[in-house]
Amino acid sequence: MVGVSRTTTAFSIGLREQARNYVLLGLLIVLPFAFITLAFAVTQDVQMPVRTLVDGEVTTVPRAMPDVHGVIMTPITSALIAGLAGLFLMREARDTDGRLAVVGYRARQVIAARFGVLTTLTVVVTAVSIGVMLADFWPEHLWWFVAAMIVLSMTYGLVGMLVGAAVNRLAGMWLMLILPMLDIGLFQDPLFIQSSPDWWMKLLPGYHPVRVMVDTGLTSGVDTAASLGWSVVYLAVIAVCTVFVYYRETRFHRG
Amino acid sequence: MEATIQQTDVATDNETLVRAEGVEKTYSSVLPFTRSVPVLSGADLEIRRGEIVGIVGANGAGKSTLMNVLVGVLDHDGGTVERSGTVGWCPQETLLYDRLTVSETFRLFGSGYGMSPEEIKDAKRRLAEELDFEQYLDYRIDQLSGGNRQKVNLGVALMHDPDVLMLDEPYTGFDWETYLQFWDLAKDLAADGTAVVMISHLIEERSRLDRIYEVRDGNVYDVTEEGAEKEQSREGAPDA
Amino acid sequence: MRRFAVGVQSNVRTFLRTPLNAILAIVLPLVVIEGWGQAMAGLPSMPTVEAIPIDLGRLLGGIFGVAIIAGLMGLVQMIDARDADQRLVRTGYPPHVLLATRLATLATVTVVVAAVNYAVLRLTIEPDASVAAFAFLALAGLVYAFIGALVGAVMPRLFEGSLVVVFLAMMDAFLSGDSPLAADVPDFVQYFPLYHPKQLLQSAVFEGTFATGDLLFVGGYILVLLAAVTAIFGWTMRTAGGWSA
Repeated sequence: MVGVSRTTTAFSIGLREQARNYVLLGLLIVLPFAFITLAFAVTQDVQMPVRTLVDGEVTTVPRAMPDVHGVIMTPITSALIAGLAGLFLMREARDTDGRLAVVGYRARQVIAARFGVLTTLTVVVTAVSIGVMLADFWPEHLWWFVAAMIVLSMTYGLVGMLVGAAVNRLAGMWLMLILPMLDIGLFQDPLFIQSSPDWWMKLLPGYHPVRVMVDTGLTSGVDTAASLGWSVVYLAVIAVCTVFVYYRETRFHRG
Repeated sequence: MEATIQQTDVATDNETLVRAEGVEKTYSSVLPFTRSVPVLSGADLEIRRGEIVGIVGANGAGKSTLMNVLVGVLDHDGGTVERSGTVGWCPQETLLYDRLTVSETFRLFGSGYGMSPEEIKDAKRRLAEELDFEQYLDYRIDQLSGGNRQKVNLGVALMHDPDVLMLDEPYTGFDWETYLQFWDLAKDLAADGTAVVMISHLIEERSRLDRIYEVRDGNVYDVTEEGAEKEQSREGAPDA
Repeated sequence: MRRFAVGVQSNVRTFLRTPLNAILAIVLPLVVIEGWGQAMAGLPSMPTVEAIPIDLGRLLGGIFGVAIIAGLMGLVQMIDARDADQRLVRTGYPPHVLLATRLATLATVTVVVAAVNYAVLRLTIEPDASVAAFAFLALAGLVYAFIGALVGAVMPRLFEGSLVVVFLAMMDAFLSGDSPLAADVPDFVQYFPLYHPKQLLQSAVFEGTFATGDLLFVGGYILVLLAAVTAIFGWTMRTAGGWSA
């Protein structure tokens, strides 16, 4: 009971702390709105060949370019923000969360609270991004699309935490910008990668979730349920690594 | 030499609350071209119930490192640390969350200590009155002056009536009155049986301390007698 | 003058003593340039959408890489040094010398980053006007370095500032220049930071020429940024900022 109470207290207070960052909250709304809206506004409305799964077969289908951009720009937006949020959350955690260990918090309680804050932030960012996207583009299967996007954003949030533990802030920012841009914006973009992706592209965090988003966003069938499953597995593996690293970084080593 | 830690949450009637034997600590990195910095190479000390203990030493001697090892936030490379009872730690940096109010900070830390909401409220009010920051309870940490931040920093270390209080330069930024209040508080705590350990730079404080440890060349020396002699010779010296 | 030179030297040394950053400043351009080139070359040609030659893709990657590395460096420089700078000013150090030191360091490191990106581009592209191409790549970096510095001066919070710089760079990368994916771009796109540097770089690499108008615009852009950074820096040094989120 005490354990649940500690976790709840740490989570609710942690959330309150982030919610008071009014500049951040403003940016979380303004930036996705500006980027996604502008992308739709200027993209040529022409049909482009898009590589995706139809009835279990990899094929190329013609789709309007604004729709394709909707499928790609929206997850880039939330993955970028979630990744940077994870980076800075870990850096903050290294300093101050270690003190909570002295006070009596167990590692799992603080980790659960921090992950709760990251999840909440990620869900908010994803909701805003999708909300803006829906003004111009409605995925064929909305909830599959949303699920894939949440998994992708959470994965990048945790990747941000791992990067935040491993490198300094400047290097971390460089990495957490370039990784989502290259991964989601280029290597998983079905406009650019017309043939089957190389093996190493499939190892990137964006591979399975974007596959699901392209399928459920642009085609009438759902052929990538397995990919959603793999995305969740990928997320779980990253989560385990992040828990381990978090434990080490905040030195919850009391005897 | 293997590093071991023993911790019991409940203080026994045993006099000794913290014991360190042969503690070693070196700061090193896995990266090439980086220097290893040995700080402690066999530190021994004991902290007993009801004592006010000072830890002194030159800059960079390892005082904060020693305290962090004793508290348990820093791993050590060798030796043993035994702790008996609860610990309250007031670090040199105010490791607090900037956007939380003072009240919320007490709630967060009190929850960690396992205190009930009523206990947290009582402790917060009591300490806010004793350390004179009652009017700031609804202020955010980042809205406080350095001195008031330090009062909150000290307050959250004290709120659960710990058996051992570890203070790393606790009065940074205090005005003179608060500084004197701090010492009254320390004496009251010691009279109640709390061991108060503090890193101190001020020579004038030595007369207030029951024991003084000096960190020097990686080891810890009990210099209480030396300090007392110096104090006596200073008091006895004729005016110029 | 001596204080200025010492300041620049010590700041550059600080950067180099973070080996990971120095390594990333070399490795990331390799990844970004080639990644951009290969990916964009995969775009199929359609009646109204031109295929992107691989070299153009690499060029776009190069200019984006320089911009984002320099932009985030500028942001970090201004934020990290803020408290120490305020203290130095109170000891009598002239604010304009301090700022000049910071910006000169930033410019020096940006030119080095541009040189690395240029060297990577030269592995696969033979520019028609090589000196001009390098200069325009460096100018693109300088624009973003000073934008990062401006954001850092206005908003001394690293997470929030990085979001602004990152999103600006992303919008810039997508909108400005001759991206065949974007058509009907609004007129205000020409005021995006990378629009004219991209035009300059492209024409220097593929045609061996450049438009003076573009160069003047970039020069004016940099001057405006410098004026804004100077004004805000001076104000924060006098008033201790007082900004907090």
